[in-house]
Amino acid sequence: MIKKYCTYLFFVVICFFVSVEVVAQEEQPTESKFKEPVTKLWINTYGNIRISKRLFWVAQTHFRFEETESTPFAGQVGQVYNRHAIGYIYSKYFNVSLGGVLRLNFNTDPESVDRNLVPEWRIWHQYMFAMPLSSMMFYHRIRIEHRWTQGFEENSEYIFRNRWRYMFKAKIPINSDKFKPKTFYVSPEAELIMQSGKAVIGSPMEDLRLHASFGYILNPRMTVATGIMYSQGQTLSDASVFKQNWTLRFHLYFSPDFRKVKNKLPAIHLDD
Amino acid sequence: MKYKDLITTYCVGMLLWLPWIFHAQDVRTFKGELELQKYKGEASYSYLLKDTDTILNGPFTFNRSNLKALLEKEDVSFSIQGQFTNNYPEGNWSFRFNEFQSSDNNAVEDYRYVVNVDGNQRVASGNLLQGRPDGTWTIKVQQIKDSEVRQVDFNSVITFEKGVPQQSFRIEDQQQELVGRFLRNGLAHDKWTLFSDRELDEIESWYFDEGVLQTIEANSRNGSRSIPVFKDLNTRTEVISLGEKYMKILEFLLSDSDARKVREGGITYLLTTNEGHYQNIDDILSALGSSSFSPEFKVVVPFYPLASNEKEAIDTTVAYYQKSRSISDFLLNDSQLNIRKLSDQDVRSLEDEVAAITENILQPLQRVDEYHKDDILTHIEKDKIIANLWENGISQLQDFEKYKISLKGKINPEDNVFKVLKIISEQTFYRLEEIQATLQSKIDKQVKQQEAIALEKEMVTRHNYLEELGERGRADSIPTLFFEAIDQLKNTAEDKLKAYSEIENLEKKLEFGRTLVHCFEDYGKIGERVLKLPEQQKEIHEKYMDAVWNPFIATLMDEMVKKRIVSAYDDVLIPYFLEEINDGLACEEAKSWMNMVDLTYKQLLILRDEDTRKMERKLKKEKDPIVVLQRFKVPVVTNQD
Repeated sequence: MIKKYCTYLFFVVICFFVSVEVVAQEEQPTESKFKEPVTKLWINTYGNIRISKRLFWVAQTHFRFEETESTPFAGQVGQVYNRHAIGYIYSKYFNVSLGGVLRLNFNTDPESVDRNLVPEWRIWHQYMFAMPLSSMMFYHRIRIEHRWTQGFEENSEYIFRNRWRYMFKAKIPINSDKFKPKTFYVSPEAELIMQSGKAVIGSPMEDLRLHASFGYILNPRMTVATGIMYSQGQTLSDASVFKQNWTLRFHLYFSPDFRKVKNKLPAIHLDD
Repeated sequence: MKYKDLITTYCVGMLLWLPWIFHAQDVRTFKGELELQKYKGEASYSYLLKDTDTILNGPFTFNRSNLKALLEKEDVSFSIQGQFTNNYPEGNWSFRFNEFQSSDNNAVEDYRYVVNVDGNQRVASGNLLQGRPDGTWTIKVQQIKDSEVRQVDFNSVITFEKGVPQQSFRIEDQQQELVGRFLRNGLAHDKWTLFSDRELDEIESWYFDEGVLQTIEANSRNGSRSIPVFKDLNTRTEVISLGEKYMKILEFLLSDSDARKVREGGITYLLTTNEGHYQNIDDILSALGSSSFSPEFKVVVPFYPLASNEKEAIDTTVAYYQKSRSISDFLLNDSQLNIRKLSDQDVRSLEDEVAAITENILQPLQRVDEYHKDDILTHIEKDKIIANLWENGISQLQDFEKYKISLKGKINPEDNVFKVLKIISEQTFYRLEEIQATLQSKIDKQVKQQEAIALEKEMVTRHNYLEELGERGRADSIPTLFFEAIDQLKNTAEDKLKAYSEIENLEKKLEFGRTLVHCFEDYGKIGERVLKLPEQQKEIHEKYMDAVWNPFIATLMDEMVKKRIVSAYDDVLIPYFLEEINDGLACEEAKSWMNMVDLTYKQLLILRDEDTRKMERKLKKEKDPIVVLQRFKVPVVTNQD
């Protein structure tokens, strides 16, 4: 299983380098430009609501803030996310989800005279693999999003892009030899988000996120975590310009199960 | 008409004869093997069957001889001949009993072997009337040598009339000869004389006057002695047989030396021997039919009738004597006491006292018992009884004071002798009973001390077990509060041991000791349960865990369910259980405590799978263990100490 994942990972990384090479050939910049990092604050809630033995409802709401000149991190609202999906539990270590996203983008450019708020629509599906190793857990997440965005200008057209995301994440318990309630854990995470579409010219690397978080399992149904994330990626308009972010992140994970006890009992073992 | 009457008369006459006709049964004859007491041989006799009874009637022969046995070693043969009439021996009878060996002097005469015999022969012959001797009866014991009488060892010739001895009689053995006579009514009369073959003069003479023995004269080389017996008898009298009973009466009357003289004298010897021979024959005749074959020598003795209160007093005396005797026999022969008296001065002195009482009181009373059994109390003079039993008479009874048998105020000199005996026997019995109780309690005490030692050993073992449990708890590294409870249990046990050791009274000590042994056993079991509590707690925790899927970590996580129940158990009940112990759990509460703990554990296992929502609501913030137990439906035990 692990071997399979590794092979998969290998191909993803190769593709990435090849893409970068292609971009380099087409453009002829002398060097990349890195923007000043922007500080942000994300408050994310992740709901994972069990609706049957195999199905669950993904309900995530994210509040993203970013700095203003006067206030770092939480100066203004950046985006509000609503991500929903129906997930299917294939096994303890693999599940898939399919759903939609409504993102509300706020205009964070203080000098802009355009619209303040525009919606963004997505269809997304993801493939989540989990790998236990010793007392740790490793995760591979492939998420593919089909997004329709538009600019803040009045009557601007929607543009369509695909996003290709791969995330590798570890969770390492600190005060226990296994994950159970009252366990602290650390979780390093790296995610590469690539994009493609007619509008994407030379800037496929939308974002590379490096995130380290520190979590606490309150009970099997509730976990909180916080961390800091550094990210960088090409701007869509100019491939040689890289934006950078430092983001403070707060996560709340909850997984209620409203099924009746008699239905719930056999489900917990799934097929192990 | 006359003719008709005749027929009627004839018929009635015939009917009257009917019972006789049916009863007139055939005389039957028996011929064959017969076993009669120690005799076994060939018998031949006639008899009638009446209902199911055999009625001997007609000639009777019963004999045995074995030539082969005679030739080989010795033949014990006998021959009995006579006849019966309606089951009574009647007419001439002869008895012969031989023990013969074949002698060396045998011969062949004409066509037959003549085997001579050596040995002895007992013969008896005479006439019987209705089973009683009638006419002259001769009994002889002879020694036979070469088939000839060589010597007569015993010879008795007595004449009877319908069983009553008559005229003169003669009984002799090898050395002496008794001659005497009777009145027509069988009473001994005149002078009965014993001659010896060795002496010229008579050696013993009994002088009777119409059955009353006046004097006994005994002659020996040292001179003659005249022993007066019933001289000048002027009381009521009774006729009895001259036999063992008569001898007992004489023994009572005479001094010890005189009594011995009479008892061992020739006349008594010959009379007794003769009596024995008659008894032998009577045994045979009685076994066959109805007979009363005895010499029936009659004598007259004084008769002192007993009043009913006297009879009662005698019965009481005998009863007390017998009880006292069994106590004394027990106390003197009990092995435990005999060992004990070697080391215990008190026991020894009491045992000595019992021995003295036995010798000085029970032995004389035993004679009263014998007089009673021999039925001679009506023939002896009451006033002489006390003096006869105790040398110094009534004054000697005061000495019994030294055995703590006080007769003072209980006996008056003018009291009836039987009342006096009754009081003596009664008081002696009480005293012996008292001594027995004392000795018994000493023995009991020893037994109890041994029991106490055994109990103490048991208690110490069980106390040590508690200590061991505490150490085991430490070794298993269970939480401190658990083995501290075991330590406390041990301390409680020690306190109780201390209380035990302070009890002086052995009885109470034993009683307490017995309860402590059980108590410590319970404490041991409690200790075991305390050691198990952490394990049970863990088991309960596991039981109340539910696996919950955490999708974010992709892990099944254990989550405690019904937390209120578990925490009530962990935080309220377990501390309460231990606190009960730490407060010094009383012995009587031990079992309830175990019951409570066991039941709680069981209930918790059951509650896991039951609908407990209501109970859980009620358990919210409940800190009172009693209430929690009630909610868990466990009977509540509170430490009363």
